[in-house]
This record gives sequence, structure tokens and C-alpha cells, in this order.
Amino acid sequence: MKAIIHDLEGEITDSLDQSDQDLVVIHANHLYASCRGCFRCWLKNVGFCFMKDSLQHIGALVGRSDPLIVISRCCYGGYSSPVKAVLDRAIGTSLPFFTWRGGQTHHISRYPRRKRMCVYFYGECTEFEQKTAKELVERNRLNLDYEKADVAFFENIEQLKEACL
Amino acid sequence: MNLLILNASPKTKGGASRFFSGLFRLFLPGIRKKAVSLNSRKDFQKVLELFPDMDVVCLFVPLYVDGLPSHVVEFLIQAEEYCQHHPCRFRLYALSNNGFVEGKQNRPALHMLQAWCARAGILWGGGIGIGGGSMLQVLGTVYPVLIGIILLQMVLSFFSTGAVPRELLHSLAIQIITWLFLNSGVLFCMARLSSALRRKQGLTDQFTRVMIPSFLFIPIADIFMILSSLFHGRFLFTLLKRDKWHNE
Repeated sequence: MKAIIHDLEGEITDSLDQSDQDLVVIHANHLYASCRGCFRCWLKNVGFCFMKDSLQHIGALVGRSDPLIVISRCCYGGYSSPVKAVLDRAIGTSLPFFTWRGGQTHHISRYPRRKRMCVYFYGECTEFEQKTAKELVERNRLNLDYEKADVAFFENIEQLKEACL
Repeated sequence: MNLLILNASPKTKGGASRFFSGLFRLFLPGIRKKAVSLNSRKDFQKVLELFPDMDVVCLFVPLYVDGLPSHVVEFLIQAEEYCQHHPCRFRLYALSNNGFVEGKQNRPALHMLQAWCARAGILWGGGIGIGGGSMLQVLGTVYPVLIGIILLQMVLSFFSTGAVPRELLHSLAIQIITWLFLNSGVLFCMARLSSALRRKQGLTDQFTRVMIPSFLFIPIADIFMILSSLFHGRFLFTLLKRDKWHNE
């Protein structure tokens, strides 16, 4: 399964290949409730969120997506709020238990290890923010249990569209 | 000096961020401070309107998926615009905590706040990254209970025998010293942060953790998770199951 989580507007996403049966596109659009930090997806609900919306099983999607593609406006060296709301809801991808990975403690993955995640940031992003974003994605890679993570920065959506969509 | 303490955990009750903000307040006697929650969007306007009157803002935030929680990012975008159009002259300090044992895992979150300061024209004061935040919060509940039980035993013993047994005093000292040791890194960093904050000076980001070696942290944290799931009526093997996406 391939998944794209993005915060792009409708006219841009029309160019995504929606006919692909194996592709799931999540449009992060500020309408999803954010994670409330209750940890019920770890301690009670075996990986799914207690909030009954279309992100209830987002942990299973992220846990099976290979590649996982995240397209986000760069906000202070991190994801935009709508994209982060989706990712925050996906912690059911991991088990609540800890392991040692990459020289640090991380959560054990609930799903088999996947090969690749790609993160495309667009918008104005300083050098310091790019460095922060790269560290963030690397930590995401370790926690989400991907073998490799690619990060790219684009000054605007047109550049992103030319290169990736 | 006016200090605003922002509790940015999305949890409405409890949470390690709230625990640390309560602990940090002990380091700030004599400072006029106001503590406000930043749980969700409904708090944004109320918090923004406090900004122009503040000399220092101290943000207590949990680490979510290696960065700032989504509602905090949304708040920062609004706050950036607000600070550019209002006379905000405060210095921002932050304390970020995570469930992993390493405090350094909070670095991207602190750097995001530093980047926000640069864009909003606010002075970045520095931050503390705390590892094992949830464990310290639990210990912060367990140890006062243990110490309370020992004190109760001492009182009962005093009234029944007229003396306090040496063993109880010994036990009380051990519990207090153990708690202080486990929290020593956090307490030291908070002391440095409060000192910088009083002088409105910058502080290099500090990273600390619960004072337990990693090889012990992992089994203890795992046992805690198993016990927590039992409390929710779930057994270990249930926790390990996989979920399905809608169209699978």
C-alpha cells in the first residue's frame, strides 16, 4: 500500500493519480480532530483511535504504507498543523513498548519494517529550519520503523509539483 | 516581572507537562506569575491577549511524534501574526518532555520554538528537554504517597509509644533521597532555567532525563505499560494485535 498525506489545495491534488487502487490519499485540511494524548490507541484499542472519524484507523494505514509520502508546508522546521494532526493520530503504528534503535530508545513497531518514507516540504524555510526538519524526519523514520527517509525542500508549490506530482 | 506559564498539553487533566510546570513554580517565589492552559483552539485568543503584558513566557509542552503537538503549531502560526502586530516584548523559554529516556529527543521541538521566535521577532530564552517525562510524573505521584504513609506511621508510633522508631526515619530519608536522585537532572536544569529567567538572560538548551540507566528504563516502562493496559481491561497479547485500514 502507498499513502500520501498532504496539505495541498484541491486543484493541486487533482494531478495525483487517484485511480491507483493501491494508493490512499489523506488530505490534511484542518478538519480532523487533533490527538488528545489519552493513549487509548496503545492501552485499550489495539492501535486505533477512540475518536470515530476517518482517521480512526490511520495507525494501520501508516503502519502498512510503503512508501509513505508526506507533503507539508514547512512550519518552523516541522510539519504544518493539519499534517501534524494526522501524524499525531497515527501513534497506533507503534506498540506502547520500548526498544533500542539507532542508539536511542524508541517504540516497537506494531507492523513489519517498511522500506521508504519521503517527506516533501514546501514554502519558505531557513537553513536552521531545514536542519531541524531533517532531524525531525530522521527521528520519525526511526520511530515509524522505515529503513530510509528522503527529505526534500521546495520554495513553492509549483516547484514541488514539477518535481514530485 | 510578569511571567506567563503555558501548559500546552492537549490533556485537560494531568499530564507530565502540567506536573513539570507545577514543579517549576516552586523555583519561582516572588515572581508574579499566571498559569494558563493551551489545550486546544478555544484557548488561543485568551492566551494571545495576555502576551503584550508579559515579560517572560514559559511554555510546557509534550513531545508528539518527535515534534510539537499539532495544536501548538497552529497556535504558533496565529501567535506569529499577533506578535508582529502587537507590542509583544517577552522572552520565550520552553520545557519539552517526552516518554523516551533521552532528553535530546526533544531537540527538534525546542528548535522549532527557536525558529518561531526568529520569525515572530521574539527573544528566544532557551529550553529544557526532559527524557522519561511520564515516568517522572508517575514517580512524582508515587513518592509523595510513600512518604505520606511513612509520616503517618511515624505519627501513629509517636502517639502510641511516645517515640519515633529509627527505622521509620531511615526509611523516610531513603525515600526522599531516592526521589531527589531520580529527579536530580530535572531539578538542576530547572534551577538554571529559573536563574536565567529571573535575569531575563538566554540559556543554552539543556537536556536531561530521569536518572535511570536505559537498560533499566525499558523493562520498567514496559511493565508500567502492561499494568496500565490491565487497568484499561486489556491483557498483553491483546495489545500486540494489528489493526486494519478501512479498505483492507
